[in-house]
Amino acid sequence: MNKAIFLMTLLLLAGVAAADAGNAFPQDEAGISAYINTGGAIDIEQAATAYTAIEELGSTHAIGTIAIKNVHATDHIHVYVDVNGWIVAYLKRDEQTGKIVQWSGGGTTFANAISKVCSKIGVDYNSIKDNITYYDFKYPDAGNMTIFKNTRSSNGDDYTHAFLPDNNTLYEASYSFVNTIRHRESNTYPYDSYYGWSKLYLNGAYISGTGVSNRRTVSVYTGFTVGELHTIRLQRGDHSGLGWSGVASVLIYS
Amino acid sequence: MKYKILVLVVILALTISGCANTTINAPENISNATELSGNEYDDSGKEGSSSSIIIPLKKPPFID
Repeated sequence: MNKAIFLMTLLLLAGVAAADAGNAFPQDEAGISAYINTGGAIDIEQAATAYTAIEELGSTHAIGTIAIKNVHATDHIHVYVDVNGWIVAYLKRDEQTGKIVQWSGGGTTFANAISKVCSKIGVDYNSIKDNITYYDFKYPDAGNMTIFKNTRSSNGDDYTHAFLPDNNTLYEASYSFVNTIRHRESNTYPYDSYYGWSKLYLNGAYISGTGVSNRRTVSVYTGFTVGELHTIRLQRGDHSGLGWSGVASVLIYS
Repeated sequence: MKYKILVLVVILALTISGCANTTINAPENISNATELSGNEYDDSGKEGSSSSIIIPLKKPPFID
């Protein structure tokens, strides 16, 4: 009899722990996120080996950051895992949404982070990647995120025109802006040097410039509204034709 | 000068009446523009001159 009560208590405690696992996600701190359920229990300690830095490590869940290689720098993506099979990659609310954009190979840095956890816990990422779902804890009423990218590898301008009808609510408009330079050896003009700079404009107004450097800037657009046609101008100054520029815009809206 | 024009028109069906809003909400508590620099040439993002994707946002079942 006592043994039965003891076992029931253990099962009850296990159930409570499993239920608490999902509630442990820091939804008040998280912003844009991507989540998936692996369909089975996750060994928390094993999953935590994917972390570059561990912030919380408990019996039911763990939180940490994973370093994701991206163009010109590494992005540190927060990842939550729990015993119920959930993996959630996210940015904190005060982080720039543009960090979601993965320039190396495309996709998102969130997908890269989830893939790294999967590789540590023996889950075939390719079999579950199509089930990755996105959500913005900062803007819970937002129903869509649109990411559009444009790159240029020669001297000149590229224009992207974007329009969001005024029956939508736009919560955030962000960008990831990249410039890449390359060394050119030449005895004639343009002489042996590094070449390539980029400038970014919204509706004709200058937003950001890189100079001749390898640089990636993530920030928010100001002046991006619904009900108006907006023009994003990517300008590249480069007579070598060796480097490239890119801008990815991220709209969060409903 | 060669111009390349990409026209992207995002058209969404109105699913909720009365949700019109003509101004963007001011971003709150977002850190200043973050600049990330590297020393080596990286052409891994050069592929594909333009692309776009619309991703639906859905509330996860593990939160209240």
